[in-house]
Amino acid sequence: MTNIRTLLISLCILLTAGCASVPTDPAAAAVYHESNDPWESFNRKIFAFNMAADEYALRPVVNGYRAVTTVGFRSKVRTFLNNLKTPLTIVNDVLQLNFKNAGTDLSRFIINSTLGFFGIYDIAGKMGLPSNSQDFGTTMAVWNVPSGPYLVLPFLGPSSVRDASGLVGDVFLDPVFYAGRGSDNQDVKRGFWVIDGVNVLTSYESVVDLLDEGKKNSLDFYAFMRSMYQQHRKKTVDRAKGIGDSGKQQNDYDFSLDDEEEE
Amino acid sequence: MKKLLTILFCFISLTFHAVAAEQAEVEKFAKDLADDIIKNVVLAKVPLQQKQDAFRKSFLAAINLKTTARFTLGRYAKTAQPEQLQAYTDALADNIVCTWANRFNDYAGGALSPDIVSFVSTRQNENGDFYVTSKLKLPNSENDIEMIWRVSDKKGKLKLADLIVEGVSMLISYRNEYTAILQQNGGDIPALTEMLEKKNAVLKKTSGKSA
Repeated sequence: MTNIRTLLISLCILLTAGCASVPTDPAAAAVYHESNDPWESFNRKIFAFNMAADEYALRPVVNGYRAVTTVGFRSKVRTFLNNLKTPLTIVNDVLQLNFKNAGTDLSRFIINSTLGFFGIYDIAGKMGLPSNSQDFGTTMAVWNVPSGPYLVLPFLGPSSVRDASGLVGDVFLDPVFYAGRGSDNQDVKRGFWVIDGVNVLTSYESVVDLLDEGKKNSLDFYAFMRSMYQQHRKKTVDRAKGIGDSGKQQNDYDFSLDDEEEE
Repeated sequence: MKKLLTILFCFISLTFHAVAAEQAEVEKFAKDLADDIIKNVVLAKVPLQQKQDAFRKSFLAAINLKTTARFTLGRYAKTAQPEQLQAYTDALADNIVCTWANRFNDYAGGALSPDIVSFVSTRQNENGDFYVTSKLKLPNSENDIEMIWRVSDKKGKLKLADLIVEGVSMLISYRNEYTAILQQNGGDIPALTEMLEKKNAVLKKTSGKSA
């Protein structure tokens, strides 16, 4: 208990030390508020650590995985793992009171787990049931919990205070977690550890090309990643809230360009 | 009363017809631009330099470069000198061409067909701009990618105002990144332009996964 308290106090001191003050220049202040990143200097350090971890630890594993598997095989693995994540999505659909999506996702899970041979084939997708992925971070956003400041997590990358706590929530809400970890059978438990490992690997493998492209094209890769994450996350939350689909509320990209026109 | 109703009906019909006609025109603009890029950049069997030239010709003609450049500088645009703004605009144009032409060139590595982009719907926002939604189907990708073409009608001429891929706006992305750099360097636009020019020099020669 004392150790946890010490850890929390140390983390608070670290974050406060890395907290940037609001710039006095109006243009710089506008950037500061827009980026929602008061812990930027701390986040940049974690980002640099992640980049080093990518280069020396994760990338060789991904390269090895790509070398010994085909594109088709990796696609099947992703489909299988996505199917295993569907129960968690269903729980989040229900928590978001989105029973229509919960029904669709339940149908997807049953169809793909049976006709799709344990989820290796996305038969439900071919039947017109679109895939959906929800997490507890999105659920909290639907409940109007503010995102909190931008946060870079070690190994996991871009996040926010809300989404990072959502990751913890997902572990406890995931029925598959209980099925695996709650089993008395040691082989089942080990099997789920392997699945977790493969899950991390495939998730990373599916984004490395985007990371490489971002690194290649950007001037400030940290700022680029922050922007990508925040915009994409906003889109995910808006979709869960039903914003934009019927045009009843504006999307973030519906900004006016008139202010920027040459006067 | 009958006369008044007839006039009202004619007015509504004409307005609806005009909006529908403009919408069709906007969709055609976006579709023609997409077809042009697919034909001359994505599927063309020509060297990278030629693809970049083709992309420059069609894409830069389709966008309002001045507005784009000012937007990406955020509030810093207001304090920029005209010559600084011009140099930055030129460097940004080069960067847009290199980045996107190279990106489309990389897509060409897969088995692509001319109908990789399919147009889904169009809506108009309060500012009068149109948002044409399309789906991009890439090989080896489980899900389609949503691509929205924001088209504005300024002074009777259609221009591509923004390209939004899976909720990520091209304009906002450039602005977020470049204003973050300006925030750190004290609003030094020439320094940002220099960084862009150096990056462009590398990108002009390279495509593929690494530079």
